[in-house]
Amino acid sequence: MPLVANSTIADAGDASVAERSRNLRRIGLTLFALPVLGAALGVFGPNAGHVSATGSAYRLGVDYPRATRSSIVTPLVVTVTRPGGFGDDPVIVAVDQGFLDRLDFQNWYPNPSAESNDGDTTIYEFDPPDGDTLRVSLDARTGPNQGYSHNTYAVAVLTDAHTPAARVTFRTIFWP
Amino acid sequence: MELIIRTVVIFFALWLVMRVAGKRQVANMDAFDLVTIIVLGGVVTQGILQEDYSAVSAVVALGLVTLLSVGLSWLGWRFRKVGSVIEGKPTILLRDGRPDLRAMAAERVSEANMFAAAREHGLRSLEDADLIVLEADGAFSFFVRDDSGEADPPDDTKAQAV
Repeated sequence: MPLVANSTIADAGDASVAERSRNLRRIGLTLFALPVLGAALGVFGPNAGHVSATGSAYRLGVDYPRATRSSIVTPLVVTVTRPGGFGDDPVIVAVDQGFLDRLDFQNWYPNPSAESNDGDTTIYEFDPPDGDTLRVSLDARTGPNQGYSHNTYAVAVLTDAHTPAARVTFRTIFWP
Repeated sequence: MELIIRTVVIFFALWLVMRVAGKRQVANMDAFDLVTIIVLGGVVTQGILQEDYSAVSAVVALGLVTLLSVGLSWLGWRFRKVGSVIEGKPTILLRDGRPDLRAMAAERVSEANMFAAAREHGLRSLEDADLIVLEADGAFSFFVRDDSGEADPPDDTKAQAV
């Protein structure tokens, strides 16, 4: 095949060309620095928040993930307090199904004694604890293959009649 | 933050591996070195990301490695002494056609390596070379005698890697 040109430096640039590409590289480096800065500030999680509410003699506290990303541990701890104890009644906790759908979870600790689902909400029944506080934690990771989402989810403690006694909402950002 | 610390630690550990391994390891990989590099890649990925398979973490780690790499390169350019620590210094392996055996031993360059490098640079004999330099990046630079038998002065303007 014949050579197109003999000069080996025909397409070599001078200093101004090098400076122009250096400026483009600087823009690229700045773009790379942004996610690093975000990670340093904890934007991509895992970081936890806390919300609480009271109602009908119940106090509900939830430690939740503000931001999390695929495959990392996602904290969710639900604390239900009822001064004077729960008697023989089970403690009923409702969690938004939308939140649980984003997780790849193993189990609740302690395990619920019963579980039901009405489509939008999963309702767990826990055996009443000896004292006046029940603390349950979810052993879960954010599921793989997640897209970005930021939604508000709810957790509630229900009375026997399955009406909310105390309800909290929280916002979680899921990063891919 | 944990991800950032892991990435920084492993980046500098890798840099140390490259500096300790020596110049030749960087440029002249044999089959075993290739296996080492592949194994290193797996170990490094595991060390940085651990069980974190998110795309965000991969982008953060990639970005940080790029910034560290450019940062080291800038330090080397800005401060000459730092540059020689970061990248190493060139070593003269042959002068006036005579190999420097101590330098060759220090850099683990065998006679066979020199012959191979000379062949790659189009030389039939080491006597045709005035100067052979093992560069900091592991490449060989050759300064050849001109047709009259005079050696080319090894300065920036006339030196030419054949």
